[in-house]
Amino acid sequence: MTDLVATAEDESLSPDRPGLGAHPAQCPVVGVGASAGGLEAFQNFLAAAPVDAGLAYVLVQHLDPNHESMLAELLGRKTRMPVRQITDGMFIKANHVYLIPPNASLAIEQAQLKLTRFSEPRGFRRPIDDFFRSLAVDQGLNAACVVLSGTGGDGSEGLRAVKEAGGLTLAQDTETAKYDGMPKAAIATGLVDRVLPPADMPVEIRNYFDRKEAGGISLPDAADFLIAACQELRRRLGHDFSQYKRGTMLRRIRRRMQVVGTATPDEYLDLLRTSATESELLFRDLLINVTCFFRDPEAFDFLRRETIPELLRGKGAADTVRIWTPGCSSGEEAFSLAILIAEELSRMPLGRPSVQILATDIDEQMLQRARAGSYPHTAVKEVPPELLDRYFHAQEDCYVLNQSVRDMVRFSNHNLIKDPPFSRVDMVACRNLLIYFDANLQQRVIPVFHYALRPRGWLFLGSAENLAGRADLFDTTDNSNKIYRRSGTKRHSISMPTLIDPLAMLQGPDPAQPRAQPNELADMASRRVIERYAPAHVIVNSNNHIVRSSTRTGRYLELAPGAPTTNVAELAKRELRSAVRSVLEAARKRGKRSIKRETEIDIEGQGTVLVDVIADPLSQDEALLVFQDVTTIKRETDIDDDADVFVDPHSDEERARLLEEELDETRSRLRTTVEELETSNEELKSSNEEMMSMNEELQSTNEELATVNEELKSKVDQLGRANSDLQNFIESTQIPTIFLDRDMRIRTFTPATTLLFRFQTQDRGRLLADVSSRVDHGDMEALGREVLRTGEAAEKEFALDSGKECYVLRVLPYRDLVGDIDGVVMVFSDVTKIRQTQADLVRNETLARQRTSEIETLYKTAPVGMALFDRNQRFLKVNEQFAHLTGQTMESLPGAALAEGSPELAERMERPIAEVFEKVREVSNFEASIRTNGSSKRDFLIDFYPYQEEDRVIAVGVVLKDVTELRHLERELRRLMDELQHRVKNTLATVSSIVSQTMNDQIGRTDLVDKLKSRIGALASTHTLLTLQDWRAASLREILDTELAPFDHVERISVDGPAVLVPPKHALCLTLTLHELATNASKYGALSPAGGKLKISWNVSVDSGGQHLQLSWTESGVSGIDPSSAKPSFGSRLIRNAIVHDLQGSCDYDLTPSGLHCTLSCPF
Amino acid sequence: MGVLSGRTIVILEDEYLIALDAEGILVDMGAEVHIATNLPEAEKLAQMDKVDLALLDVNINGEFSFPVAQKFHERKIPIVFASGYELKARAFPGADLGACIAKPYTPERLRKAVVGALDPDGAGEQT
Repeated sequence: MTDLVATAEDESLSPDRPGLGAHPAQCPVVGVGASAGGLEAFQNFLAAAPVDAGLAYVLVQHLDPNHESMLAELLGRKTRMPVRQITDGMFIKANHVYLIPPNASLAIEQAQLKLTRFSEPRGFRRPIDDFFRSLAVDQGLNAACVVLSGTGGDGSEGLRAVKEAGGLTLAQDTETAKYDGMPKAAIATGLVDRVLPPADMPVEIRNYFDRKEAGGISLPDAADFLIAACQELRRRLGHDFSQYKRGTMLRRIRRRMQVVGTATPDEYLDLLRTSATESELLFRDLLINVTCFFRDPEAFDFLRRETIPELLRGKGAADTVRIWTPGCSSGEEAFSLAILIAEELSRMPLGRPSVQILATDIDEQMLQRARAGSYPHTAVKEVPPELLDRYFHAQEDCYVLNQSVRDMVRFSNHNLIKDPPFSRVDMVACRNLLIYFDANLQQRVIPVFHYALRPRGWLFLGSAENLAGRADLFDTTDNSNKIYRRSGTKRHSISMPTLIDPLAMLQGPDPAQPRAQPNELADMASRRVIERYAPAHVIVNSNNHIVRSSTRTGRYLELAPGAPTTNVAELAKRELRSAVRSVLEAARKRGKRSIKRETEIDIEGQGTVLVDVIADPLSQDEALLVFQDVTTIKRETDIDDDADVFVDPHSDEERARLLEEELDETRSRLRTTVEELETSNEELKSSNEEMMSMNEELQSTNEELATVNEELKSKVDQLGRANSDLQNFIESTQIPTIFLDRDMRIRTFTPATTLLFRFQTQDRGRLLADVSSRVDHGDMEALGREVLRTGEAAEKEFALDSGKECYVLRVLPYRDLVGDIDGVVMVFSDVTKIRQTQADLVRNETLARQRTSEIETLYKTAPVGMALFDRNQRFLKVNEQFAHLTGQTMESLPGAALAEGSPELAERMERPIAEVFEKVREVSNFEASIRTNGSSKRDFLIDFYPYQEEDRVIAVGVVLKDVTELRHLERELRRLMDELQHRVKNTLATVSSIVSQTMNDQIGRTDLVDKLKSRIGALASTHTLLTLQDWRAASLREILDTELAPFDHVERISVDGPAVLVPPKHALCLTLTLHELATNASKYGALSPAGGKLKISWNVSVDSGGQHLQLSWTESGVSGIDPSSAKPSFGSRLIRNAIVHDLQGSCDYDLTPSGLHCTLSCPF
Repeated sequence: MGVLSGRTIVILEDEYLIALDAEGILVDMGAEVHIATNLPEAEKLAQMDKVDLALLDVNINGEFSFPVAQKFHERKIPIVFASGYELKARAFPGADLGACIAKPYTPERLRKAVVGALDPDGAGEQT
């Protein structure tokens, strides 16, 4: 078993170009090209691309160079892979999509994307080819290319390069392509591996590279496998590939296996056996790049040394050397020959022959490549360097052959099998063409070469080719190099029945058909006669073009140089041409048969032959032209009496004269015609060139337009959606909005405007002023015009319904897409609630300010100390009173700690403040006696309350009342209460004593009651007096007046003394004493009915012991008193003792017969 | 008669009529009675050789009699305070030096208070 993984030394699929794919990127690179219709294809492609396939995609599109492309945006929606517009120098990364930017040529070099300016003018640019070519060189096996929708043929050349370098090639199925030009051109190269709809491609590509990644496909013993494969190809296609390089073969087969996805060689051989298509595809793959410069160098060397010098020997300036290379493909071989001939010519003296190399092929695309004479660097590798320098000039990315060489070679489309061969050529070089033909065909082709060649002309075949058994026609010059020479001089006629058929087709259906068929045998005989015995003839139309031809016309007709034609006047041998023209002209002119007798022609191998040329009109247009050899048929025309015209009826002299005249006339006509023709030909040529280039420009413009159109269509869809979004927004918005144009006409409006305007749908286009509204039009329009003028937004507030609704009208400039102002937008905002809220806010603020001011005033004026502390026991706020206690000013405290402000207060207050913070509970009526600010101790009642915000105590307020005075008053009150209680109780005790003492006097019950009443009454009246003076003192005079008032005989009393106030105790004591004195006086003394006089006087003296009161009670003129009989009673004891006892005073009691004389004295 | 026979009692009372009444009651009970009308007098009487009991008015001309009570107490002389105040309710310092009788008192209440003070263990045995 041989593992067929490519080895490092021979990596490329093309052994002659090992440099391919020298810089593979880290992932396979897929080039995707498209033009018109490409957007859709790209979208389908990317939508189907797996995001993790490990591939990088490079998208190349024909873009309008003057427009930003929207492609990235449009494609980015179809795939989750990042889509990047390429910048110069970008590196390729897996699972990314790269897009060519407008107006740049893209290439890949060392896995890096390069942007350059286009070197070609617009219209000649082929960005897809450019990129694919660089992709092939840079990535080789690591590349894949995809040709999608588009017109023209961009991409196919690049695809060829990718394929040659061993990359995968895909083209879009033309059924699915919007424009099938590009895919068709690609498919036409025959090099496309798979034709698929875009959506199927990405998976196919991934599978392809996965199979490659999976490592080498193990093939059985390479030789056996190859033999089997080649046998299969030969069996099916008749081609032998055994001469191919084995490694290349194996790799190409392996690549095919990768493409079709067969795992084992046996599986693939089975496929080859069963599928003609696969054989065909493999065949094509094997054929790739088989033509090149100087293929088989030894053979060319032989040509150079031997054949070409001989070919040119003896040829002078008048000679033309003709070489024919059928199956020239892209022209490398023809140019190789041309170069060798040019080399040889350069060694020749002047007067060199002209050389014409007729290179023909049926593949027009190949011919175009060949005509360009331009080849990539890799293609000219086989050209020896000195020849490369001499005959090529290098351009940016290719080598172009010199004009001198190109002039030598004329490429034309010619089918070796079907078209008439060239003649009189000196050499036929037909290499590697015969191998494609089966033996039968080869045997037919070899005589064609024999026919075309001059005697002893050379035949040059491919190394695998031979004479196909016709050694009778050629001598072998060099067998190994396959060079032969034509043998003999006899020119074999070749039957070319196919020569006319395609030409006849051009003329449309034969009008003669269908014709009546007589008896079959006779018909056969007629045909036999015509084929074998009748003279050679052709049927021509009015333009002298051959419509039909008989056999054996080869003696009289030959293919002229230049483009093949069917004009019989040109096809006829030179000697016959004037005869043909004249008989046809004569026949047409006269409508009768015309004959030109005995024209001499040279026929090789027979010498000079005389020919009669007869033209016989068949119809209005067609005529029969007959060639009759005179030597063989003896003057039959003599008896041909019905011939009407003899072109040659005169004597030789006459004929010569006529001919000369005709010749002169013809010459001058010809000259004019030629001149005219040349002129018009030049004109036509230049017009044609212009047309061509215009056409190409138009084509590419068309493609660009198609691309732009697609992008625009997609954009229009998006705009449609955006428009619909906008419409929905306008319909649904609750904000009244009006769009106006510059003339204040309504463009559109939102439904919410009906709150303010009586809009209806048909109002669009009307002037705003024409629609009835609750809002003043004048204001709106003025504002609108101001905005139009300034371009700045403006606002105005207005009230409706006498202030019940408030709106703000906001007018903004309406700007079109380029930013010009094209009207205004009016937006109405209902601010009724906002205004109400604002008013409320102002009210509340005023209220709050009042409250704050009240609180401040309270703080300032309240007769209590107030302060607010934070958690760190620092002052936040403090009033004058509190500050005063600390001895500091109200301004200096905030921020200071309580302990700094007043250590004394802090000592008592810090604990409760902390407690309030901790327990979130107020502490009230906290009593403290504190010595503040150096003064005496004072009593305080302190409240601590928490100041909360959101359940958290942020400060503690303190209210501190100075209750020192209050406490003092309370004590005073207590004392007063005690005093009062004492006095009341003592008074009751006194009354109690009066009662008991009075009862001791043992008097009558009536007297007892009277005495008690009067004594208690005296006590009560003094109480009354004292009460009137707040128990501070009583007037002595009033006490006397009160005491004496109840008694009769007031006129007997004289009272004299200064006004004096006595203390309560004195008042009570004096009252009791004076009452007893008065009672006694009324019973027994001066106030008794018996009569007398009473004199009461007092004075106050002051000495060192204080004030002293002395009162004397003197009765006189009383009769009937017996001092000795006076009984000691409670009354007299009281008079004598009370003053002494209670007032530490004295009583001088002296009872005389004329009356009592009593002196009371006491300090007070 | 003569529950208080041989007993000497000092009365401190600044009101003549009240002192007269108390004196009458106590004399009737057989006691020898000395009356002081002010504090200095009462202090003097406290120095007497024989004093068995002091009946002291608490408020004498606006002054408390407790300092005088202290003098009697030092000599272990039983004291009966007479007062218009509820002495028990007003924690006067010194008020616990003796028994207490509220003014105005009846002869019976005075007798009980005095006898109880003189004979704390057998008070009322005789009555």
